[in-house]
Amino acid sequence: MQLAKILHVEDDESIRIIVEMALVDLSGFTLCACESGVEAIAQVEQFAPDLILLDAMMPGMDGLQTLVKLRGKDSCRQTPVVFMTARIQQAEKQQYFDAGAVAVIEKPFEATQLGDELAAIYQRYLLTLTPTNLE
Amino acid sequence: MDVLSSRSPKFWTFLICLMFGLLVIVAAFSANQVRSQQFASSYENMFRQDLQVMLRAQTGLTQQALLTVNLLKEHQQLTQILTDAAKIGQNADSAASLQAAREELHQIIQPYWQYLQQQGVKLLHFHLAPNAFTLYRAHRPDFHSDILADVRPLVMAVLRSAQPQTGLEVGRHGLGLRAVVPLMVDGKVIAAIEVGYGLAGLIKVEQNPLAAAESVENNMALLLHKSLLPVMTTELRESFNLETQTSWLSEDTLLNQTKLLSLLPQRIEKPMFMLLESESKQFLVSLQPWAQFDQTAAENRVVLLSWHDMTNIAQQRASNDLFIYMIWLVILVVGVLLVFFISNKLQTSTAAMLTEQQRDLRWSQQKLNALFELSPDAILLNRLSDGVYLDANPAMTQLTGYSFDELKKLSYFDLTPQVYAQQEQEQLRLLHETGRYGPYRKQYRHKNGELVDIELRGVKFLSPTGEEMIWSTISDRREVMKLDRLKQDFISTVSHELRTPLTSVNGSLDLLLSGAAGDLPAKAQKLLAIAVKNNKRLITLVNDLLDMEKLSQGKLAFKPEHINSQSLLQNAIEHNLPFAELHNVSLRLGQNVDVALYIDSDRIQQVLTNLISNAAKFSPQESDILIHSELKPHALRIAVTDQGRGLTAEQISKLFSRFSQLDNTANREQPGSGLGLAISREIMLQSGGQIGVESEVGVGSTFWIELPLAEKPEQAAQSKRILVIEDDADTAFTLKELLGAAGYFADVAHELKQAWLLLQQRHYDLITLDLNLNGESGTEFFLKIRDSAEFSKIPVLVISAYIEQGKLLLNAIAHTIDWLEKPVNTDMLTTKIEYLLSQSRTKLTSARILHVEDDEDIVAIMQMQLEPKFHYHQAGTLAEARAKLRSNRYDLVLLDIGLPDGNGWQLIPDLQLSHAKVPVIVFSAQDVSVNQRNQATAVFGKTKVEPTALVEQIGQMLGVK
Repeated sequence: MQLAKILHVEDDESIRIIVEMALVDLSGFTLCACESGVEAIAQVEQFAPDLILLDAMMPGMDGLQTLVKLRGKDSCRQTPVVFMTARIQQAEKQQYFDAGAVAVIEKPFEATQLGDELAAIYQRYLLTLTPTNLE
Repeated sequence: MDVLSSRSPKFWTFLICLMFGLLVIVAAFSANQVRSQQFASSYENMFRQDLQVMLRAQTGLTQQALLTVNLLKEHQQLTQILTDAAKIGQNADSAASLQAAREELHQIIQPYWQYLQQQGVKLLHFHLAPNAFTLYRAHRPDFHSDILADVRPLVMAVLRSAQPQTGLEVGRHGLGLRAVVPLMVDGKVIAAIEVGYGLAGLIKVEQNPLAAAESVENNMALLLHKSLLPVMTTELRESFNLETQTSWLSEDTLLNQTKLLSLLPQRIEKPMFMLLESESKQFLVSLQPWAQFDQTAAENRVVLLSWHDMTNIAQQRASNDLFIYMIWLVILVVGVLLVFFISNKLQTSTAAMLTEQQRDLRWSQQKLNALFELSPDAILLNRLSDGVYLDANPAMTQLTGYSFDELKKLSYFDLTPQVYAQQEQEQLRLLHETGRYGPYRKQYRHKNGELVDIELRGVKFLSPTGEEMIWSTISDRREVMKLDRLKQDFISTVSHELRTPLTSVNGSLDLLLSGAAGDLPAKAQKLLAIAVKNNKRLITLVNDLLDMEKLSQGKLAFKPEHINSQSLLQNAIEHNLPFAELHNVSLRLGQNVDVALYIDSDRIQQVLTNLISNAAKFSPQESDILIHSELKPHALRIAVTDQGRGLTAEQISKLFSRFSQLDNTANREQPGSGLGLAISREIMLQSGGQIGVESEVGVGSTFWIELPLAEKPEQAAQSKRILVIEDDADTAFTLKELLGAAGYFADVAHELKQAWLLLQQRHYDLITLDLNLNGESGTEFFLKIRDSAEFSKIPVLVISAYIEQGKLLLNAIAHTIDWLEKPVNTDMLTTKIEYLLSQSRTKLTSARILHVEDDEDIVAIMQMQLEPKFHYHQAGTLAEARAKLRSNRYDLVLLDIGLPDGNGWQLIPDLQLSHAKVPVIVFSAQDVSVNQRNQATAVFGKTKVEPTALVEQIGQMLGVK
């Protein structure tokens, strides 16, 4: 299984554009960019992403809240989630892992490396799944 | 000084006066003694003189008598007549011859006799031997021829001894002074001549010349004892005053006028003197008995008396005494006055000093009081023994909301939440050991229920009464905490707000440079590269600033883990390879050792990255960077050696301080915040390690770090520490060995006090306990552990020879406990310990539940279900529940409403006070109002809910599946 569809949730437009260029133009993924958690929740069923890239700090519904809501969607229960955060405190990072994140990418990130990084994360995630989970 | 000053000054003045008075009295008395002795000796001298005079008078009289009689003896005719008369004999035939001799004698004697009588002679006898036959009596010539052998001892003595004799004679025939001389023919006494003087006027006659020679006051008299009356002649009787009632008779009129005679002793055996007083006159009386020839009485009945009128002398002496006593009195009075004066002076000066001291004291009190009142920090005085509040300043009221009076009524844990019990213990220990505690941070519960962050510190001291006291200062940390939170928010905001735009910039530049937006002209690329490099520098700076901030605040949590040094170095190299390649240098792993470390590998990696990237930045192109390690005592040294330009000593000294980038001109082009080494140093210090550099200019530098080695690396990861409480040294040793062999660390305590100390100093995973410890009760110790907040979760393995008894005592108690009988079976020991440890692990994740319930059946059911998962405690009454809530910390309370001593709802205020956020599940058969329901976390009806469901609910609340 290869990583193909990524749902990106990010309130900062600049970063959305950069991520889009990095993931679509450079790496060739299919991307659905959402500017808020609400939009993501609206989009996720239809888009059915392989991986969700979630900004941690967002006005209104933040990353963690968004994750909880996303998990409520049937199609989204198992989808790996990668958090992106500008806060590098260890405790905070741990909080995302505890909430079920498979990886945390620190901002600022290397735009040119982002596609490769997510692909690698996705591969690692697949390895952790047991055959029954894979079905 | 304290003892002295505890008495009043008056007391001391009085005492000194008293002592001085005594001294004066003793001195006066001694002086008087001396003077009395002087007087006495002067009296004695006088007495001796009197004695001399009296003796002389006595001797004079007897000599005179003897002289007279000797003169008669020299008369030839007389002696011839007497010789013839002796020859004649004394028979009847010879009477005529004797008469002839007698007449012859008469013829011769009469002329003398006239003369002798004028001389005071009263008597002249001629006696014949051997029987004192009276041949002739001059005063009575017609009275003769009687034989006087029996009545004239003096005469008989002379006739027998042939020696002349003089002396007083008291005989039947009279009383007088006699002198007798013997008449010898052919060596044989044939007769004796006797001369006698009367006693009347005897002394008077003699007195005058002597008295004139001695002293006008000197008087002498002859005393006769009254018993002599029968032998006294008429003349004597007339001469001596017989009217007196006294024993002694005197012819002296002066003497008779005084009462002196009545004062004399009955018997006068030897010369003596006495001071006598009569009619306000004082006399010195000397007495000299006159030896007598007496047929009837042994005592001296004739005494010579001499007396002096001492009245004048005595008066003088008395007036002298008075004068001297006056002088002593004056000395006494002056002395006492002096003492009073000095003491008064001293008192006033002491009083002056005292008032000065008091003033100083008051002043210093005022100063301190003002500080005490003004201090923004709360100041608290407690008694150490019971923690009672003795004093508190207004700041304390402000801090806690309680007035001092209210405060005095509070118990310690009314103010301090129970969760701090363990820390309180620790601080108390510190206080006992060092005399100080703190600074340490905790919370107070304000009167309004709010928790207040505070920092305390205190010092122990002794009150004047010897009680141990604690002064504590308590600073309100609410403001600090608020600032802290603000700062944290700020850091968080900065990290977010700075990084988000940096992310965009970085991403855009990255993409541009990578050609994602199409090819760019060379010039644009060059400019972009500059932008990228500086942007990266900005990112590093933000990161480093945040790191530095957190490090210096001690907020960067270190999570040590076990890692081998080899993998640490390999990771470091791998991680830094891209950067090294960028700078065209190669990273090489040099000589190294592989040891176990217990460190926060992320942090150490950060340090190594910093060192390696520095080395890469400052190394010449295509040079090597060597990463190597070696063992140092208790530490591993990891070094990064480059072949750069090296550092001067001056440069090294500034190297580890903030924002130090060397050689501004040359190195500013190298991206870096200048915080890297400062952060590294901080990380190393906080990891218990060190950082340093050795460098030689032109050769290169070696930056090194030293990391502490993990102890017993293979075991440390899973080894548990066990406390062995066993009084028998052999058993304890065996247990320690057995446990050591099984991979545990074991500490041994031989007595309970030691065990308790160890428990407070170290974390133990398990305790083995002997129940009978040299008289100390292991059972009680077990209960102490179980009831303590901090040790109650430690499982206990009782190792005893009497486990059945122990089980009886302890079995009802819910605690992780197991039993092992002595002698110890090794397999059983390890099995039981492993089991207990696994039990405690599951329990450690679980919580403490207090079940307030009086129904035994429900208790049994709930205990059965809850005990395997939680620490289950039970209380049957409200009182019991309150006691347990005070001394223990619970994570959940399961509450019945109908209780023997009240209503379960009554416990809610207690719970809010000590267990504010602890969930309360009401499990009751009673109906519950809406209002009541809101006070509990959950309410379950006893009939409506199965116990298993309740247990599940509890599990969910406490986060246990």
